[in-house]
Amino acid sequence: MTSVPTKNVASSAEQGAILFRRRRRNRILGLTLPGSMWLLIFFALPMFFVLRTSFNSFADAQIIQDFTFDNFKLVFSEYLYAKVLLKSLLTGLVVTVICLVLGYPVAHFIARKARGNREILFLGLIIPFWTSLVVRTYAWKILLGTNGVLNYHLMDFGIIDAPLKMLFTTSAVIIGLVHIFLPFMILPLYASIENLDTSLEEAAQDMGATRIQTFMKVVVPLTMPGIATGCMLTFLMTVNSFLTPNILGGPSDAMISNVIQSEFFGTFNWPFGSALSIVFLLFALGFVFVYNQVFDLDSEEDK
Amino acid sequence: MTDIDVELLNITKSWGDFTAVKNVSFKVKKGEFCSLLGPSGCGKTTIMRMISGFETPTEGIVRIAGEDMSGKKPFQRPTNLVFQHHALFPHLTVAENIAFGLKIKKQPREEIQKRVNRMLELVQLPELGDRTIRQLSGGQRQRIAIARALVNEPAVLLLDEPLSALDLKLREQMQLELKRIQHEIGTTFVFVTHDQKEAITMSDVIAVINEGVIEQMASPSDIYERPATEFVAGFIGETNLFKGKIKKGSGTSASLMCDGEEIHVQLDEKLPEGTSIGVSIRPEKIIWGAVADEATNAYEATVRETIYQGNVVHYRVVTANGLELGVDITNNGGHQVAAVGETVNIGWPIERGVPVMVRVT
Repeated sequence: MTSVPTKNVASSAEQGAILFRRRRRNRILGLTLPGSMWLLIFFALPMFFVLRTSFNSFADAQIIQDFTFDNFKLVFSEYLYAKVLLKSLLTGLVVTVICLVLGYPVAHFIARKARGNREILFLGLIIPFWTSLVVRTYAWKILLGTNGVLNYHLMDFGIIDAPLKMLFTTSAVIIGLVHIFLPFMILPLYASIENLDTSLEEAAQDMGATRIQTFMKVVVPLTMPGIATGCMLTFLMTVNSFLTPNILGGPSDAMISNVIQSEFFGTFNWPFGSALSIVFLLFALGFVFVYNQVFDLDSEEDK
Repeated sequence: MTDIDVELLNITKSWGDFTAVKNVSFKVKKGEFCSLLGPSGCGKTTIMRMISGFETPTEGIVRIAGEDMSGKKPFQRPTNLVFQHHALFPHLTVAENIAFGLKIKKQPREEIQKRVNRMLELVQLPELGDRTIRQLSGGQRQRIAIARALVNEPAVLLLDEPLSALDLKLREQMQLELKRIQHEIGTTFVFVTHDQKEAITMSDVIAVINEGVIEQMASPSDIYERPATEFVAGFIGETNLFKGKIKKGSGTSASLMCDGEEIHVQLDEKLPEGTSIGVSIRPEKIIWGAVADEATNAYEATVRETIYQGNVVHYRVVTANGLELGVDITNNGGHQVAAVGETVNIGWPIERGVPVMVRVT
């Protein structure tokens, strides 16, 4: 007899729990809705159209509804595209390494040495973002041009006789890209150096390690998450860059984005441009995947 | 060869207007367990960091094993430091942590292996070499930190409150453990702590530090029995401190007035009349039912508070003129616990009172 009401109580409690869980699930769904919609409309849908377009064919300046792999075949068979892809990846690598080498000491300095001036240094890091990327890139054009500031002064001081060709070179592109992406390297590095307990560095020195040994054996391994994140950000953004190679580079400095752009708006060959985009996207995803496996980014974070 | 392992000569350390350590000099003998004891912010950690080389003295000289350390970086000094929060490397295993210093010094592999194992045995964790630091408990981490420092065979091991993060039980266990390790290897230990009990339990010699100055440096029993200053008497253990000016005196016998009562005291040396002085008498050294005579300070007092603590009974009593004292009586079966309001005779033989220097403000 007594078991019946007990059972009722239990089941109503269970129902309550189910109701609560359902309500919670609804609330989470509600909260993620704006983000999901945004991604759907501005990312998934366009990507789908790009994917669909990449299977169309192009003839007589006309896009023809089709389902063909010809565009992809062309991407892999034409030497030019592989070269551009390789060039993009190589530029990304060079820019990332330069940013890491330049950025690490800066991040270390801000995190460790700059006690009172930290805010000012951060401001210095952020302020360039207040100016448009286009303006900043054009500024390099003024600096590096044949009749530019740098050449003028070098000749003025008698260091060179004729202007150096600096603009429209690969070096100009790399200088511009390093300038733009350096903060994206410094910020994650700063965060992980700041998180590193100073006494670990002191412990290493106490046990006989010089500054360099301490850096190589303790600081670098323990700031690996920051190094990995910074390198990933810089690399991906560099490889994707469009504006800087367009403004500072010569014709042979075109990167993958420039080629895609010229397919879409030069020859209006949307299907082939789409195929290039898709191939490139897959390359980038593959890269991120391998990178995550190597550096184990996900598990490092919750240390 | 000198038998002094650590020597500080007129060390001063200041940052701008703030002086953390003021003209400190002391010596630690080879093989001694020396504690730097003081409240937080007294400068004890700064002193230790100057010995290890992480801070440079503004003035003065640090000598380790007889050698002047001026201009020597931490990695060039024959000292090793055990950090407050162990500072073990999270990316290395236990064995790799201990081997760190030896690898830096490019010792042969078998030698490293041998010494790491010996250290693991010394700290009684021989099975844990392959663990990561995160798999260790707090006490184990601190032991490994000690092993990592000692494997380098330093002349002096510096310990910066290494037990303060552990809970009481584990801390007491680790105190004995540290004492055993020190006994086994005979290395000079300089141990920084704010815990007076810890210092008394472990040390051969204690330097009591307050506001950047060494108040007294002596053996634990001397620190407790013969505190030199008001601060030392108050910081180590419980005490009754009576302050006054020397009233009269013949030779080294003197008396002073405090809260309307005359207190006799035996001085170490003759002091002029009117000198400010304090008399420290430990609560457990006061006699219950004392009879006044030439050799005894005795007073009639009223019990104001009785705190029964099991093994001891703690009383607060006040004399007719208003002198307040704390008295601890061992509950050895012969003591009748007195109630609040009862009148008792308390007192102490004059030589039990310790004259201490007071700060004249």
